[in-house]
Amino acid sequence: MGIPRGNTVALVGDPGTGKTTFLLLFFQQGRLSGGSEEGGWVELGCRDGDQDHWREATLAAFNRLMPVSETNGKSGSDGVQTVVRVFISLDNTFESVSRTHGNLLPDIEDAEEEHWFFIDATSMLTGRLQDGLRYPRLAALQPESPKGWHVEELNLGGWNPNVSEEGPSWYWVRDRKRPKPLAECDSDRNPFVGESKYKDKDNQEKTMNPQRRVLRLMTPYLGDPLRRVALIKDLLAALFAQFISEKPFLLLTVDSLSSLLQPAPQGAVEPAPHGRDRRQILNLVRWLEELQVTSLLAVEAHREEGATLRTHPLYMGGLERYLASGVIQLDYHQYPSGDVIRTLQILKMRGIRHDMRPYAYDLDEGGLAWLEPLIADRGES
Amino acid sequence: MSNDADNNEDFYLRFGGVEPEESGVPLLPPFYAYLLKLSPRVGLVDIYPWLAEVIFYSDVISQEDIQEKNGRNGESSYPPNVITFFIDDHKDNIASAMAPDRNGRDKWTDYFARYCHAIWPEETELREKQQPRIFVVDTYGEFHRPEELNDRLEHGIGLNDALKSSGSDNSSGEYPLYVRSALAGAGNPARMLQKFSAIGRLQKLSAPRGNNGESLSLGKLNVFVFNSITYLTRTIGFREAMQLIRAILERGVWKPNPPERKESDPERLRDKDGLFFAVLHEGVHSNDQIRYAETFFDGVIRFDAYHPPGNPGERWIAYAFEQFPLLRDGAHSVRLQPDYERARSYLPRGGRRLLGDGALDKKILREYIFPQQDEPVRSAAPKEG
Repeated sequence: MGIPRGNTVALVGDPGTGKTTFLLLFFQQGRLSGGSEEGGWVELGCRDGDQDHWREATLAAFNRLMPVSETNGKSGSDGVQTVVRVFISLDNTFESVSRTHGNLLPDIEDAEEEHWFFIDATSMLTGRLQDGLRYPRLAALQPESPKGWHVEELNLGGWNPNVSEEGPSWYWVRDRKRPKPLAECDSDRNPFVGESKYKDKDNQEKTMNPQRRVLRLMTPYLGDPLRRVALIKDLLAALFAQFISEKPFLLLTVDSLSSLLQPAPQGAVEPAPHGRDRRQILNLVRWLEELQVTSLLAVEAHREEGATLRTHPLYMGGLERYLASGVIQLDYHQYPSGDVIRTLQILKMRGIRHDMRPYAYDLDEGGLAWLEPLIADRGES
Repeated sequence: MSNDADNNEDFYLRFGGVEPEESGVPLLPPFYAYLLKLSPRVGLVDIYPWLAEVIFYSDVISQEDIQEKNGRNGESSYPPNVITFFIDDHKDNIASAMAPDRNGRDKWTDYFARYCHAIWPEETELREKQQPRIFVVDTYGEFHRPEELNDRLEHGIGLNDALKSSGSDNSSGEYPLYVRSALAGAGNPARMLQKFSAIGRLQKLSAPRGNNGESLSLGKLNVFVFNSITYLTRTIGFREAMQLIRAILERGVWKPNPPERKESDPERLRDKDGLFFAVLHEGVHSNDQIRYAETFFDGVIRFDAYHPPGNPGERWIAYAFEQFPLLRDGAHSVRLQPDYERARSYLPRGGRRLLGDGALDKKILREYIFPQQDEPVRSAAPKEG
């Protein structure tokens, strides 16, 4: 039961419906079931050691929305040892996510074969690099990263946003004076794998945690969506390449695709030569599917002007619903009393039959707290 | 009270904890739902004494006792699990309507808690005999997050809060008798279903946090009280209200998990047998809606008001069965079938119980109380034209 492996699923929703929470839930608890080297499906499971039977039942209810026939694979995860999980955040910094959704970030010593990468890509849209250069003294006000996560910085060589097709895109900033091209990093001392010693700001020697890492991208504002996509692909390619020999299960979550593909406004520092069009989405989605990366991509819902919470038709999203192989719509249902409840509906999941009914759900610090068929009558006001 | 009853045995609800001959209500089997249909002359609070009999006083007896000891004394009784839904109504209303002494009400922030706790000496004996496990979902009060709800349910917080806020010293070491769960707003059936699901997962009531009291096991039979369909219709619409009723019926009354299923747990509340009462105010609904609502229920009990002959100053509420589920066993037993030709009556005010103290009037004939009523639904035929 779950999302077929290798699918790209658009998680479409209004603000507050829990897109980030769902992404983090998959990032932390998405597991391959019925897996082989190519097949299987991704479902939500409780964390190891979690004795919350209520939550377990809720997650099982979510998995049952996408039942998988026995022919799709056998149970268990034979043949898959290494799991690589990647969360790309363009909307919120890692510190912000850890503050608001800290319970959904892995904080326990997990299996050796599990690798978590949180890619903080907010600089692509916020101009974080310029801010850091202009206000260096304010860096002391920034919160520290949570324990257990080691933060590495990656920049664009020479702060040049123009991506060369041949040259390296990303540089590893262990030593700010001599950033090292990512492609030239040896296997023992790069941001992706291996254990290494380093000295923190207090000159204390520490061991970099090999399993939970934050890769903070230091870039100027990038107005061209295709350029952002290209840089993200370069980074993912370098990351995935580290695990090729292990035939890993790759799980990617992007918060959000809407931000990644957001066109630059008119008059921006760097005008966008490309608007948000089919090519950008297709370029990324097809690439991920070819690599068998199971992806969940948050997408902001778009409504036509004049549509209201109660009267709008089903999800009015953009091109993502056509190009992604799955669409999970997060929404609100408003009762005549004015009360609102969050709802979830799987509109599309290529390759399997699935439940299309709307479900009411609730969120808490631990993620998905409750899921039941929605009691609603849209025809009655 | 014995605790050795077989978990697979059927249990029956004994209305008011007294024999059917006294109450006019037969022993009520599990897996059935009953509609309490109030005529337009029956007011908002007139149903409270009847609901109080269900919530506070009814007990449970086993099918074995019914068959083997029919007509004899000495039956074992067990507590029910009473799950009440108060929509746009406050649970305290029932307790305060039944309270013999209203002078001390101001001392209590939760009057229902006081009634459950049987502070009054005359109730103590009954409480010791069988304590209903009462779970209240009301639509007033503060907003709780789901985990808070779980915490409150598991630790029985509610009664003890009330006891503490009232300044009572009786909270330490006492078993929690009921737990409550408030909703912010009445018009959200999804939230109500969420609370319902949370309650259904209960396995036992733990001792209050910080106390060393023993945990309290659940009762033998689930009794759902929904007050009312009409109130819910006022906030969310009739069809959505009936959807919620159907969801509750399907999960709480009709389809308990078979014991052989993996997820079934005989100690869990939702895996126990149940029966269901829901209130409907006839005057608010169209005939179509009333008929539609009746299709969800196996039994229909109609309530009406009347003034006794020769004493027009008095106002009594009468109730009579219009419809009752057909039972295979003991169909002719007085204990298992209602008397369709007679109604029972009670004084709706004054804090008196329906039963005992001679309050029951067995002489009120059905024809007198419901002179304009059609034939009962069970035998109604389509009219021409």
